Amino acid sequence: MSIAVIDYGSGNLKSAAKALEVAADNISLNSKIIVTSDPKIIKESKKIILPGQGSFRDCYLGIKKIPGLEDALNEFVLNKKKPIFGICVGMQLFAKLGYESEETKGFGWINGEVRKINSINKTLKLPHMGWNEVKLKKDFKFFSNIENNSHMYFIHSYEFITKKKEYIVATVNYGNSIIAAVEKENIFGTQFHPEKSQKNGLLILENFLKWSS
Amino acid sequence: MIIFPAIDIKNGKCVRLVKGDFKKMTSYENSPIEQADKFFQSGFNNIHIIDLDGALQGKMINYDIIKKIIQKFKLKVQIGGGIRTIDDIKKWIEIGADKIVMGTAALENIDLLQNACEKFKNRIAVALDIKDGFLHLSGWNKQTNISIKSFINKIENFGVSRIIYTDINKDGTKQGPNIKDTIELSQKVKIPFVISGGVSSIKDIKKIKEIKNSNIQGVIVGKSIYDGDIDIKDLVKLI
Repeated sequence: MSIAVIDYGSGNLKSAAKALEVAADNISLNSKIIVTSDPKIIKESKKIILPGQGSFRDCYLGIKKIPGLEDALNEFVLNKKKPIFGICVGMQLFAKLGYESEETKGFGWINGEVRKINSINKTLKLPHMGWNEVKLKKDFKFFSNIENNSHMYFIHSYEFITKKKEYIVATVNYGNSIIAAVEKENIFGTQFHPEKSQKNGLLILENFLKWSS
Repeated sequence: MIIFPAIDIKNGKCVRLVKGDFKKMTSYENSPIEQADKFFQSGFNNIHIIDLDGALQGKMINYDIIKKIIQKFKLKVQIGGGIRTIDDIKKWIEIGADKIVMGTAALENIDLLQNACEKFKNRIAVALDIKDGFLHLSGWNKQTNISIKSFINKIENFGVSRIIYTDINKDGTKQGPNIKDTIELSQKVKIPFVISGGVSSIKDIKKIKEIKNSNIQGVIVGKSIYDGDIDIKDLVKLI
């Protein structure tokens, strides 16, 4: 069975697919990496990666525009409970609601919202862009072999906010503490870009690919 | 280009005036704080706030509300209305306002303006309300015989951070700003211009944005957003 990288016109697919191929190769995994928007292929995949670039609104509307894609993703995640890895806005789409550009509904898989980073420190620029230290909140399967305070690559102006602390597996400090990674059962996402985070990012992708429930 | 969504506050509420006339005032449902949050969440980084009670009475009436907005959101707040003394300016700077807008006070007391620009470098904006080439004062209730050109010549070397240029004939009428004249004037001046007044459509703003080397730093958009003529999700893309 293959690993699907969801293509819904958001961009940033190639670097994600490329990094996955390298990660798969590193662990001698035979799964095929397929970039696709085909609901049928997605349903049959073993795991999926949901990338995301641009605004929450544009990304969610992009998914909705492709017939059957929203349903296929809901089916995959909620009913089949197969693993999904959301990257950046891909992770943000797990939330119930996003406010970027205009209030927009998300998948609602994780109870949370996506709001603009609102640090009291007005000198910190948006987007939050570049390498930053990630604080691991607990021992978590996809972070095995990752050291606490490892550097990951971020680029975002909006942050995932949830009151459910148990879903927060990593944070990053940018004026305030911001969620860097969330997980809930089969659902996992990072605000940073593992595909742009060199060795540590690849390790996370490898852990995700290796993991079997 | 900087796009400043505007919040005009009177008696604690968001309002808009037509041609600066308090008799032609519309109140809006959202509180100023809700409105600021909405602009912030949508993606704007700057807002323009005018305390209309302050502008009318020369006192800072809605200070507490505006202070909350400045301190609550990572927004650059340009604030005006009723700012008449160095102490007034200091009060806003201390709580984190980005730019302080002087209108009436700058026109009535040019030494005060010069003094303020020296004390608060790059923090003072001058709002010039223009009708047929002449400046207007104090919530637009008073006319002057000062021509815009002669006034700008006087203040050009003070270190004013920007000129907020409002064509009163157009403000709140949504008829499209007097873009051509404003740009021509701005090109003769070293201080960057911000166009305010009467922007009525996304087309107007695109037009302003497309002009190269225009010395137009930004646009203030008010009534058109509140009335739904400009959709903020389209507007935010022009930042």
